[in-house]
Amino acid sequence: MISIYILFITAVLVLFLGLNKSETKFGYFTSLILILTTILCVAGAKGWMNFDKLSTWAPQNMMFFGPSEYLFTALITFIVAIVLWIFAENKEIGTDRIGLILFATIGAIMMIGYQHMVVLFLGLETLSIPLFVLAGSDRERLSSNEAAIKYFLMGAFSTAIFLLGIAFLYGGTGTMELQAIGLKPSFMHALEGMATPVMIRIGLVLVSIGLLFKISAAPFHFWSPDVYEGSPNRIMAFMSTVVKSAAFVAFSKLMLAFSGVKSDWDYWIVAIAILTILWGNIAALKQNSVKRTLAYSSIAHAGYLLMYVLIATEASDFILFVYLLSYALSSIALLAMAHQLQLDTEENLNFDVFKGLSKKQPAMALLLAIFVFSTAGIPVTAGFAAKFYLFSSTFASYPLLVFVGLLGSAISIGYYFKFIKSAYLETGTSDNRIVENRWVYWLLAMVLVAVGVFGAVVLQFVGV
Amino acid sequence: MLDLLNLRTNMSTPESYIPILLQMGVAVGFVVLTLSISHLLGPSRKTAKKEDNFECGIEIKGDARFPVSVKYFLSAILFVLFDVEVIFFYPYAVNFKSMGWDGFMAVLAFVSIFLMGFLYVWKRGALEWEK
Amino acid sequence: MIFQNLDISHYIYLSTVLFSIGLFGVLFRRNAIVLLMCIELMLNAVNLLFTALSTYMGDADGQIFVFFIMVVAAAEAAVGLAILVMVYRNTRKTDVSFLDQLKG
Repeated sequence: MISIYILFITAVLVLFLGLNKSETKFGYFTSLILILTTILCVAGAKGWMNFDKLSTWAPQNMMFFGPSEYLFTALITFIVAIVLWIFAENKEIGTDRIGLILFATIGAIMMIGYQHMVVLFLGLETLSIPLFVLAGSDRERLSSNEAAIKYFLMGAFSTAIFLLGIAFLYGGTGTMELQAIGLKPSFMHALEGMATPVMIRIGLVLVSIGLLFKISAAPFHFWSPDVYEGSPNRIMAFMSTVVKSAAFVAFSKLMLAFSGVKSDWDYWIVAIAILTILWGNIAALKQNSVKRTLAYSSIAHAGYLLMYVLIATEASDFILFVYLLSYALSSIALLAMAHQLQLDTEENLNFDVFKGLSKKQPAMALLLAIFVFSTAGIPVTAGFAAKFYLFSSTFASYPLLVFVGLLGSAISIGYYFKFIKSAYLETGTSDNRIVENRWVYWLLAMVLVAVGVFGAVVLQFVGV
Repeated sequence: MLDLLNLRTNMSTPESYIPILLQMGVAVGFVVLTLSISHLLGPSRKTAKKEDNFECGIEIKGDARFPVSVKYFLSAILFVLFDVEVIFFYPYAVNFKSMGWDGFMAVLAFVSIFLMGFLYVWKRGALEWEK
Repeated sequence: MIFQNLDISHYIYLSTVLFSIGLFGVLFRRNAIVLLMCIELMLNAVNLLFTALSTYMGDADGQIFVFFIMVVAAAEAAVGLAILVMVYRNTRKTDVSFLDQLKG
């Protein structure tokens, strides 16, 4: 709850103070506030501080923040802080973009802490509606317009499906509170030919389809490469990490609440996970643009993360946490580096931006290699640790899925190698720009390597 | 099914909509009746002036489907947004007494938040018709 | 009265049919304004289902949810129309067939 209050006040302040001013300073200021919120949330998760008094206005059957919710909130605010700092822009007039990003972040936090379907729905919409605007925030560029309208149509369409699912769940269970599912008698027993489980199953499938659109799992992923490529780089970094993290936390929470219904018919999620892993990885192989490659790579990662939805228990939050941390940090760093090395922002972002990096800026080339290794899941990085925890805990119940996951990871080396190849093996034009904010990249790389090497220690801190 | 019927007693039943149906019937019937009577009894003379669209006596200019300025869209969108917020006052108005001061404070917070939105729109200059 | 003879399943079927009409409209129409209207139809089908279930179960939650859906639908429509105006300024079309800039 405290994070929502802080972010709301910051958003209003930034909006009113930054009217017709350059957004650079406000971006750094917001970033610092977000770091502060991260620290407060970690303190709340570890029990060093107690914010229960602030939550009295919000009934516990609506929203609840326990240790794991605080941790995921800290993750989200940290990601947004990094995105705002690393993609700081100078030329924009007005701070409404930062305000919208903050409101979207509040939506993501609501999706993490929800206990009632109303809060889940409102969080989803608070997250999506600012992003429709942000995706089209390069008003003159036609591809940005197209991204906005595609994202809007897909978002509204998936919201409608999601809502029909909630209506069916409401009819099937008689309640919209997660805690009360299975406690309230449902009135649907009186109905002939439409037994309760049927209503709940239809509802669960529809709600899942709505969320699968958001996390862009195949076959509901077709919009995401286009939208990611068309929208501004900063917004792509936000969409591919924050939206996915929040949607996965919400999805696994929902599946956990319905675990009694889910257990005997989860084969369709298995099928979607297999399809997503294979489709994402194979389609990424033939892409030339950095943004499209990363978009398909994020689809593949959504496929791996669907494994977690199947095996989620109350005690397994750390798997999701470590995976989201490693995925988010490394993909933001890759995109940011390509963004900063790009000379002409109007042009397509292809692999040529990395050419000759190892000669001109060897330290940055090394960091690039670390980020690529982490995304691909190569040992000594956080990506490997995350995949190891995920695959090893999935193996007992879904061996086939783990096999497909390993196959997908092997395929993925093919396209991650393109980054390394153009940075180390190709000597190109020596006019790429200098990477700014170097210490942020060092920090991210250090976090990734620390989690990869001292995984157990980090996990103990996280509270496993 | 018995307990279902019990639950219904404190809610509005379909029967309570009968007056509305009656009123609708009277309203539609009156219009149909007067129009058809004047059509049947009155003489029919057709002239070019009479066939024209009637627009409060002013001569017709151009087509109805001309492009509208974007400013109208902006105002219309803002109007729809602030108009729909009022929907939350209906349940509050019904339960005004029983919710007491807590409900009042909650509504005050709600109103102040969307007043802030209004203030931002104003400061941003979206309501200025001519720049 | 005729209303009382209606079982809840009739409402479920009706709202599912309305929802499907909207869904097929979204899938097969090309004009962006018509797409918006179809999405609106889908949301209103959901509203009908919520209201029917809420009355049937004697639980107010469903009707409160309908309020939230209405407000969010208005916000969504506002943002959607604003995006359409922006696109119309650049392309002079409201047809979604211009959506072929991004391919790969």
